[in-house]
Amino acid sequence: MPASGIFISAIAQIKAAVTALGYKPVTDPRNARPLTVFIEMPTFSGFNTNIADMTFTLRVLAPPPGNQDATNWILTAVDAIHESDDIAVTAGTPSIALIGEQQLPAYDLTVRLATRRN
Amino acid sequence: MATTVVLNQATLTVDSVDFSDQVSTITVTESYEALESTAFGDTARKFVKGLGNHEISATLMIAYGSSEVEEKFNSLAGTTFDVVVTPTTSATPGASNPEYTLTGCYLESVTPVNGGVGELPTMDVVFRGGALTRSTTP
Repeated sequence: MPASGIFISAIAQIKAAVTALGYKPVTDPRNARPLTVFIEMPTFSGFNTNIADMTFTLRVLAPPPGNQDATNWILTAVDAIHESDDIAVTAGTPSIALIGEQQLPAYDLTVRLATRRN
Repeated sequence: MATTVVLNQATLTVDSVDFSDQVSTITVTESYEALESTAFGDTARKFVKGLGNHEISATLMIAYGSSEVEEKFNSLAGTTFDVVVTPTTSATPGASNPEYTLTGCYLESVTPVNGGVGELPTMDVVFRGGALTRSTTP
């Protein structure tokens, strides 16, 4: 089904920003794998029927078992995303992502974005 | 019978420009100064209607660009103009959609930049003074 609307537009903007940094954004959980940035569906506060104030969680995924190489890759990616002028990162925390039956070392970034229809 | 009101599509027109899709709150305050008319022999204070002191306040999302919120309100600060508010999107005033017009109101201040990292930038504006009229006539 073709996707549309302000939420899809917001995700597209984040995907473009992550791509511009040289990282691979994914939105389909089936494609979430190490060395990608998984963009979860947003939570939001409605400003009115035209505008939504959204909060996304970006999951920076690295290969198991979470050794120093994985940590280095994660923190480098987190640093790049945090520095980006196009992504407003308000918080971050290390985590473990359960993808399928596999536990992946991860870092969850909280990103805020306001989008309007017109 | 229960009455349901959803204030979800109120309209705000400022100086003939429709900002309805940028606004989240609107408050119309109709107020008159209370002039004391208590006389000797009265057992309680009494008041009569004085000058009107009306205002309309609103919260808008700040957008930047040509004809956007920031540009328009920056040009209106310190001037007088008209503001029109209705509780529904219907362009036609009626008993269920009273139209409030504040004619010749004054905008004292604006906040063209307001917010923190990642926050939705908003601007609270207050339109003061002027004559307030209510119309239900299509």
